[in-house]
This record gives sequence, C-alpha cells and structure tokens, in this order.
Amino acid sequence: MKKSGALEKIIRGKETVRNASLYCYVNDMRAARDIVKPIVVLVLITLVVSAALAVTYRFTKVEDTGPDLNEINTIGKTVMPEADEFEQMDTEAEGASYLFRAKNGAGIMIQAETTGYNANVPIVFLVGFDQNGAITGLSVTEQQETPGLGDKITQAEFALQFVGKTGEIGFKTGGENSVDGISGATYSSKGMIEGINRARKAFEAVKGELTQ
Amino acid sequence: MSYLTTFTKGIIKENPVLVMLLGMCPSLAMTSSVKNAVGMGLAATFVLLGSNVVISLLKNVIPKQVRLPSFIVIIAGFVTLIGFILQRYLPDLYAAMGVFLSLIVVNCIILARAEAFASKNNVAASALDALGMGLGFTLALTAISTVREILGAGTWLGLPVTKNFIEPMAFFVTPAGGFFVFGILVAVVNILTKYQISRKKLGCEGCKGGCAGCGASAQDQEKGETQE
Repeated sequence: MKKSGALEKIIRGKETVRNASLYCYVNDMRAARDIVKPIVVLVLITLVVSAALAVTYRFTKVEDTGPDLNEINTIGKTVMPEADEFEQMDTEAEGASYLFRAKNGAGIMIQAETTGYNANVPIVFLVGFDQNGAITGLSVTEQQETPGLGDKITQAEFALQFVGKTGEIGFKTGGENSVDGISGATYSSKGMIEGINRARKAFEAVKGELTQ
Repeated sequence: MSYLTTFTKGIIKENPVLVMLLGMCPSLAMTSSVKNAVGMGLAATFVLLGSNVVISLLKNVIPKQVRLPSFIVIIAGFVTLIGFILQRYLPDLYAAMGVFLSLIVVNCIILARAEAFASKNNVAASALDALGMGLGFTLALTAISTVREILGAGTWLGLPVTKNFIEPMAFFVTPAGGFFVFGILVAVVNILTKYQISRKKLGCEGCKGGCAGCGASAQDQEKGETQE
C-alpha cells in the first residue's frame, strides 16, 4: 500500500523520479492519464446534459389537444369550397385521424396520415369528400419529403388531379380513377394515393352520419 | 477589475454586436421586428448566463484538450432547454425564431465568453459578465430592430407609430436594409467610443485574461522606448 501511494505521487508529478527503471513506467502512466481523463470528463458532461434535457422534455412536452378548428376552417375553404363551417365528429374510423363534418352538409373532411419517402415523419393531409363520395380537394398540412421532389405533393398541380374522383385511385393505371405521380418521387406519390384510398374507406364507413 | 465594470463593459465599451462584431447572423436575421429581436436577445442571454455559470464552476474539472467540445455540449444543452420552454409557453415566438434558436449554439458571443472569460474567472464574475454581455446583445438587437421596424413597417412592437401618415419603406425590413442600419449603428458606436479608447491608448486594460499578454508586452515596449 505504501509503495503504491508513493508511485501515485510520482505519477502526479509531485515527486521526481530517481529510479531509472521506474521512469518508463511513470511516463506510460502519465500518458494514460492524459488520454483517459479527457474522455471520461467529456462523457460525463454529455451524460449529465442529456439527463437534464430528458427531464425537461418530460415536463415541457406539449400535450396533443387535437386539431385547431380555426385552422381547419381556413384550410377547409380550399379543400371543400362549398362547406360553410366544420365541426369535429365524435366517431372514429380506421384510416382517419380526425373527421370533420361541414355544418351545411356539403361533405366530410378527413385528416389522415400516410408514409412517403421520409419514413420517419408522416405526411399529414386533409381530404374532402362530398355527399356522392367525390373528392372536393386535398391539402397537405405537414410533410418533410425531399425538397424539390417529394414536397411537390403540397402543390396545387398534384392535388387538383384528385378532385372529382369517386372510386379507388390507381397509380398511373390509366382510366378514370388514375392519377400521375411526381417524377422522381414515386414513394411520396404512392404514399399519398394509399393515404387517400384509406381515407375514402373511412368516409364510406361514416358517410351515414352526414345526413343526420 | 471591479464587478461593476465586469457587468457594464458589455453594454457599450465591449458591446458584443456593435463593437466586437460577434453574432452577426442573428443580429441581422432577427431584427426585422422589435418583438423577435427582444425574444432572441433574452433567449441568448439565458443561454449565456447558464453556460457561463456552469463552465466557470467546471473550469478546474474540464481538461484543456476537450474544453471546446465540453463548452459546446453545455451550450447546446441550454439552447435545447430554452427551445423546449419556448415551445411549451411561447409557441408564437418559437415559430418566429425558427432555426435561429438552434443556431444560438454556434453564436460566437457565447463560445467567446466561455473561452475568454468564464473558463478563467469565478462564478460571480462570470454571471455578471454573462448578464452584461447579454444585455448588450439585447440592447443592440433592440436598437437595430427599432430603426428597422419604425422605418420599414411604421410600427414599434406592433403598435402603429408613423404608419398612418408616412408610407413605410419596406426596404428596411429586407436583409439589405438590415445591413444598412447595422453599418450605421456600428459607425455611431465607433464615434461614441473612439475618444475613450484614444485617451487610454491601451484599450485592453480591462480584459485581464484575453489581452493580458498583449497589454503587458505593449507596456514593456513603451518602457523600453522611454529608457532609450
């Protein structure tokens, strides 16, 4: 024990080394300290900061309070121009996150999610169906698809293809219910089509409530 | 250096934006309206205070080889923290600040104060330095944004000022207008502080840490010359 204490003092540089055979050993130990200590300190700092952030995140996390009706009504003007005002429906349907009914009975607007090319961030969109099941409009509200390619799903040119379609939509299948994809963004286009077809199923399930 | 000068030097004499020309990116991008500028200033001050205090406390623990990564981790921690808080309680400001909030991490004012001051001084002095620098940053941003918002939109903090009788000059809200106002303010502050600096000759007297070497060598040179 006594010997290791003396060695420790030498390594810390408090005593000079007189023994030549000890010299190399001490040098090695000093080098090891210089390499290990910074790593340990940096790892510890990172751990403490991460832990502090994890705790803060828990306490400040924004609760999902559902959709903002004001926003829905604003977007609704383009998705379903014939509707006057929207109210959220209590029912749930597979393929739809939220359902909104036009108060004047013009149709049902569905908020839904789908997956595009960026599988980490879902595409959130609103699509409107009138009493006959024809699509009145489409608006993508949240997406992080590739800028310049996949993010063209937000443009009117893409959305307008869907307007008036009454059946299950096909991807470049030709015929009445076919739409064209976006060049270079097949995943984003297909994702949107699948999402809209799921939304249509949700509409079929709840359309009875439109007339009530 | 007294605690008072530690605090006040950041406001005019060593103003981070208008004298040291640090943190220009948020100074130009966030000053098109007073509200955003004050929000940015306060957020940066909070981060500066937090990082300065923590770094000052840890100055003997952090090995010098990893001091920069350690500083950045601590600063980034505080930035993320204020991001969470703003998102929760001030979502409008959070949305307006967008990417510039995360960019506080690489705001050179904060790293400069950590490296040049907090890692060499005690906690109280570091906290005062952070508050002074933060106040200087906030005031500079408020000054730039006041000119830009009144001339560019005719309002101040959203309240109408000259909007009703002078057509606002939208140029001042654009980035080019930002550079224009910034340049003029830097010139004004230069004129105001010029006399002080020329009177003392050695402007670095104040900063013990950063410029101590240069100040000392300059004094030695002066002595040498007089002896000759």
